[in-house]
Amino acid sequence: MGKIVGTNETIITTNEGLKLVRRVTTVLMPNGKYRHPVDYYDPTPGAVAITPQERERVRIPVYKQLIG
Amino acid sequence: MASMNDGYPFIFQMNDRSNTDDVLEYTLQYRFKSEKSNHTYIVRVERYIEHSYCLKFFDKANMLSDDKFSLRTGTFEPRTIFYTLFNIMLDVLKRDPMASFFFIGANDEKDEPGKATRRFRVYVKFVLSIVGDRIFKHFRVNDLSLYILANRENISDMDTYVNRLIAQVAKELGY
Repeated sequence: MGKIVGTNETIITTNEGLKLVRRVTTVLMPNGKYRHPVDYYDPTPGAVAITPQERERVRIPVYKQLIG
Repeated sequence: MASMNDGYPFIFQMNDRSNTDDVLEYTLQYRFKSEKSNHTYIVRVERYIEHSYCLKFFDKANMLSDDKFSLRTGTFEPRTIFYTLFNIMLDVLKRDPMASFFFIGANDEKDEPGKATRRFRVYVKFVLSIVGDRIFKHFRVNDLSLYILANRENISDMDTYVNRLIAQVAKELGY
């Protein structure tokens, strides 16, 4: 819902030393107000192999691994 | 009682050989119906060269829309749908043990097209939670919102395979 009117990206470094892009999107909602949803992503270009550390960080702990 | 890992029952509909080209060999089409929302979903598994399969799914109600992969259904049942898709993936793997899989997280109205979309991040979380490292090697490509599960049995040179796949997907998406 809403219309994207702009995006602002900033490079940040987390406490663990990861470099991430902090993306703030400005969305105009139908009631005339603005929302500013924030998300983070890794800007590394190309393919990145998933490391065990990344897997541990991202995965949902209560989900069972169903395939080896 | 249904367990957390249960998906919906699905049926294999057809082997679609239309719209094939030099890289797309055929498309396996599956269908399942949500018992919660009564929405029917179509799952299309496109088979490309080198035993590569691309999983795509959409709500049947949006079948004629150009944005069918981007529209959200708002039925609040992604987990069950993801488990159903996972079971479909296992069905494909049973038919072709050499299969490698890839998928793209389509952008929705709150995303910039392409870069690490919300769908992509959710899919990555789910796949990393339930698919291990023994059979597949995992790769993510954030610029394209592309995730690759490369089959270790079939692919000897992972880097070449992944780069070729990225080039193909980038060409298809027009980047």
